[in-house]
Amino acid sequence: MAILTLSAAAIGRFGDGDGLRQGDPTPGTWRGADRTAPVVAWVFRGEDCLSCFTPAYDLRRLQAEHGDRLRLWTVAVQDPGDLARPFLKRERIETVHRSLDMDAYRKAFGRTELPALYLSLRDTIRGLWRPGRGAAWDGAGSDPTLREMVAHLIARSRGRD
Amino acid sequence: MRELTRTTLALAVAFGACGDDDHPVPTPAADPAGPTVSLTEVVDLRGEIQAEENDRVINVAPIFFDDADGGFLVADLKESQVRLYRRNGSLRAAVGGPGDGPGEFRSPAMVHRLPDGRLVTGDFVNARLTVFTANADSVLDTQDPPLFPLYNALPLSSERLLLAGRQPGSPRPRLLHVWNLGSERIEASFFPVPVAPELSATALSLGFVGLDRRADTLFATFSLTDTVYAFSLTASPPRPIGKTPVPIQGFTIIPPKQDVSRSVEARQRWIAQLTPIQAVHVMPRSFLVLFGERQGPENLWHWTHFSRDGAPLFELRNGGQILSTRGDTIFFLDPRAMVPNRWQFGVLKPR
Repeated sequence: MAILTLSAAAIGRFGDGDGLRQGDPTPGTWRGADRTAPVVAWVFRGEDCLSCFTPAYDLRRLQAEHGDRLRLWTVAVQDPGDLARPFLKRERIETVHRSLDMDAYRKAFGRTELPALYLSLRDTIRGLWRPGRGAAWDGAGSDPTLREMVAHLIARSRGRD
Repeated sequence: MRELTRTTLALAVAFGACGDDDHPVPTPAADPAGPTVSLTEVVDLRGEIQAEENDRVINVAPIFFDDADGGFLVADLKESQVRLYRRNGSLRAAVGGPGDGPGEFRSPAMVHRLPDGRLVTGDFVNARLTVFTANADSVLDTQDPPLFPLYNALPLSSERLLLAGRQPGSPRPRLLHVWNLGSERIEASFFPVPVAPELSATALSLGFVGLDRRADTLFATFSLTDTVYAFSLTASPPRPIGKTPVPIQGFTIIPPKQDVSRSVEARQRWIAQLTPIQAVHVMPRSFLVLFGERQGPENLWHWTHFSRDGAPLFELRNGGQILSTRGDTIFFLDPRAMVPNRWQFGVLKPR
């Protein structure tokens, strides 16, 4: 599992403001070298790994369907017990993972409630999902919008290559 | 209510903690247990099976059942999928996906082959039974027994299933039910929740029922009691015919009326003190019981082996999750592997 680096300089945009929204620039080093690959980022509290409601099913499916044409990132906020890594292993999700304390999270992501799923492409947030709001949360309640959007963005990106 | 249901599901799979009950603090019981041993002291390892996977099939939380041809039937709670594997691990079929439509699942927790060849699956969350053709290529029927959730199931015949589940709203809930697939009715309910009435709600919210059968005798375990319960299936309703104590070092029982806070951390600490029994396997002359332990974010699986009259034979700590037993042969997950797609098997050594 690689390590995601969120530099302090890069994450300073959301000091006291609102949370990330669709159309906002992606924070920090989400701006990866390969800008053509969509990024799906799951940002969550460490204790969310103890919940039964996670987007693990959709992340696994995305990983299986798109492989390295998609980047999966996870950010665990307030995870002193390091619950996230074994959770991700058990769930068979290969991801670039990083832990943040709450202050660093607020700087990077503003006041967006946790947990949340983001989809970005070319350094821009294309979608934001939260539990109970219609998408991608728990296999049984899975909504196809995330997976459809990812497939579309990958197809479009490849068409431009 | 769904979260409460998920608590049981998570406990059954991996001791999760989604629940919202006030949980009493468990205290250790003083049962004697067999000597603690290592895996190779008690199991003659015979081989390994690599489960076939592909971009549609990923083993995440598989629960195993035997197929009539020596293969395996797998219900994967987290992938909402049911799979048919050959004995060598090659994949015959995979059906399902998340949803509520025919042939879709929320959390499939059981799949059995009926004596007439059909397959029947049971969904933990909505208690839905789905009957498939022998190759799982078509859905024949769906049925919704009035249970919530459905912990376990065992075929009694091509027409009758033994179901383990809660009866919502029942003043005297029973855990086991004979379900008639033809009439779609419960014919008999038995096995009251085996804890004091004041603990019933908590026990039900965390209670998983293990089932196995030999001839006309049904054996059942309840996750929070250290007992194997035996029932005669020749009577209607099945009649209790005996109990065998399960020897586990430091088994915890729940005392009444002690609450912990509702915080996730407190629930985790509470769950970490439990040693919930997951399954009972009836061996030729003994019982093999799988029980669990939560250590931080990790789940450990322990085995206790004891004679039919309760004499301890051994206790194996962190032996891996037992998937299935056939005679003296045990199929289990390698305890060192985080990924459940490599299945080991071996034979119990004589002791």
